[in-house]
Amino acid sequence: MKTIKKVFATTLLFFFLTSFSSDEGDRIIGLWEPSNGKARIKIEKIGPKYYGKIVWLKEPLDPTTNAPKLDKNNPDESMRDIPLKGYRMLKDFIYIEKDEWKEGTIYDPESGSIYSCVINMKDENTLDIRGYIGVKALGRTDVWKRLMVNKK
Amino acid sequence: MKLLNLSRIILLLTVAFLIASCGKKNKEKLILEPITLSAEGPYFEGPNSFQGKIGLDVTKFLQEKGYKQDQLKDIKILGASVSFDSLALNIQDLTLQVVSEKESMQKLAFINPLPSGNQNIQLSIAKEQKDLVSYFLGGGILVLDGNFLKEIEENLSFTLNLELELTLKE
Repeated sequence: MKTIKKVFATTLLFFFLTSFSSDEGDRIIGLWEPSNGKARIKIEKIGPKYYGKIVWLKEPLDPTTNAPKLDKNNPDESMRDIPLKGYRMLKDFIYIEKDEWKEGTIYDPESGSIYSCVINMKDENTLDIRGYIGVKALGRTDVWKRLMVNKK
Repeated sequence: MKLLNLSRIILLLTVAFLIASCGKKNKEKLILEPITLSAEGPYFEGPNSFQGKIGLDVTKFLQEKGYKQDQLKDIKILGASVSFDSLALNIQDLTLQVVSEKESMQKLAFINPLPSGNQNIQLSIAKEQKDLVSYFLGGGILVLDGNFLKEIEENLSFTLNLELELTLKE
């Protein structure tokens, strides 16, 4: 009987901790601006993972075509007519603990390159976005600021 | 001379191994049951996302045809079309992606710009499609991103039709 109680208590504790951890991760959801101010990224959750898509561009039009900017550097040529506005540049992040989202990637539309990426929340309104190839220590960090949305 | 014979034997064994491991492969076409992709409105001007779960069509198909799941070696999207009820939609483009708990998000198809006045739209399929089997056997989620040209308050949903090509090992 004691064993059953122990198993039951452990299961309850597990579900409590995992749901708490999931809610903690949701703090990243919202609208963010990279340090260069060229774009705004909306981070949202799909299933258990977090994704960020471009929702605003400072210069939305391609100066050569005067049409909305496209993902013209995509390594897959068949996907180069996809617009950058709406593009998911942050993909597949999982919240582990201690204000850190891991195992995701960041896409650089200017080069068409995908980098491994780790996100650290410095405070509720500041993210350190570190992109790297292979070794985390050799990467580059950008600071993103949260944008407040005026609710109607 | 002995060395030459040995190298011939190794070559023959390698070829025999390759032939045995490849086996004969069948290709089957499967049209999935229509999938509803939805999101609660209102939708703001700019990018909006709609989601729908992949059903058990592939699993059922394998059972009906007498295949085991490990015989399914590859899945390719052959065709994707999206239809919707409202003519009032004012959408610039659509991009279809797939994701699952274990696999990363992958682009499958898109259309840009959306042809006006058409309620059934054929999407352009990505040439590079990698390891789609796990998404279609493991509860994948389909995500349709659309750039809206104006704000829409009513709830919308899209119906997605997918045609797949399944590669199966005998």
